[in-house]
Amino acid sequence: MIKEGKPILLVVEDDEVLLRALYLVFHDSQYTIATASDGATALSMAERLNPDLVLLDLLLPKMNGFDFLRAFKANPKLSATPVIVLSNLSDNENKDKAKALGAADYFIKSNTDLSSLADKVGKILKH
Amino acid sequence: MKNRWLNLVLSLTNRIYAVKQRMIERTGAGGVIDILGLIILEIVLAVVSLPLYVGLRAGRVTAFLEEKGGYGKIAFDYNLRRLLTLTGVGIFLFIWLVKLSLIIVTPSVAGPMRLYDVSGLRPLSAAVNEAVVGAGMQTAKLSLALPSPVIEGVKKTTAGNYDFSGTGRPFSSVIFFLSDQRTMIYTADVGADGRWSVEHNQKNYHLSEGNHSIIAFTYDKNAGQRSLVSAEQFFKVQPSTFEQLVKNIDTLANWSVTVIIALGLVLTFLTV
Repeated sequence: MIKEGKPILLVVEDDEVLLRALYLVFHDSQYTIATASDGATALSMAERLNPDLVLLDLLLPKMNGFDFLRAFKANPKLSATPVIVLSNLSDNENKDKAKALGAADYFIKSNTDLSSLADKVGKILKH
Repeated sequence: MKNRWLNLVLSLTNRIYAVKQRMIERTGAGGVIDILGLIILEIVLAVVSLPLYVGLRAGRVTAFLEEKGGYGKIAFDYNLRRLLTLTGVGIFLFIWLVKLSLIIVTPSVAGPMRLYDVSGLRPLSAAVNEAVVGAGMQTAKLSLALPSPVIEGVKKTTAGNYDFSGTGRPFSSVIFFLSDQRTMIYTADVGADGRWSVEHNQKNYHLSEGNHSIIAFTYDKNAGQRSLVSAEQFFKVQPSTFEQLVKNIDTLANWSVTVIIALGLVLTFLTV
């Protein structure tokens, strides 16, 4: 049963299997999950849905994660929405770049436990 | 359990990404190894992530749609791939189930299968033995006083050969018959302790799987006599574990796939 007022979580991931896995991680929680598998669709959905949090991959087709982040934060309607990056890019340069563009947190996929990611999302949304 | 499984999915996708990145820089044999590794990882991921395809309906994903003023379903953009995946799994499931049914049902319908047909049997005669024991065998007289040898046992050697042994009259000869598609004839000298043995080398003639009969009689070349034939004994040639594995690979594959699909369905119910 969907209840209005539940936080909307937009998951942007181009790996279909991982997108489904992330959906399963969060669908038991008190969130409404929306998904997109490329940057351009994600931006369009974000403008339409005004999500409460975005979980973003960086290597995306059509519009990469950095461009998405730039456009997302440039939109006054969305700029306050926290964006958590979940990426394979593990170097500090990309990490710093994402944070400079406004990412609230940065998770490297190979070092990430999905439970801790869910905890982080919960903490951010409580604030 | 669910978290472990989803973390495994994440871990596999990470490994696949890492291999793909590595492949960009590698050439030659290293590149080929990476390609093989990638194929294996993709297969493992396909199996592990099966419940994500079977159990997760795209229509369940909803979001608040401004233009509709309420929550609505958002279609995944991979419906076609999902359809293909499920169709593929369905076809495989059907094929394997049919094969499994045949394996399970056929023996009960057709009865026990024969291991092999035995045809062209002929009684053992002196003529058969001539090549081995010489022409004297043909004229050997049956002597009731000459004791028949006793076949005591057979052992499989570490080299895979068969070692037959028994007892008999000391210093006599034992003529030993081993049946298969053809009959093999061996001679053995009985020692002073009254023991004899015969080794069948599998390299010379590979005994087929199943039951084989063995008989023997004593032959005294000097006296030109032979004994009655010993009591017929039987032994069973069983394939090695490796041979059984190769032989039953199809059955094993059937059961493996069935177990994997059953596991996928269990995981599906656990996660829906």
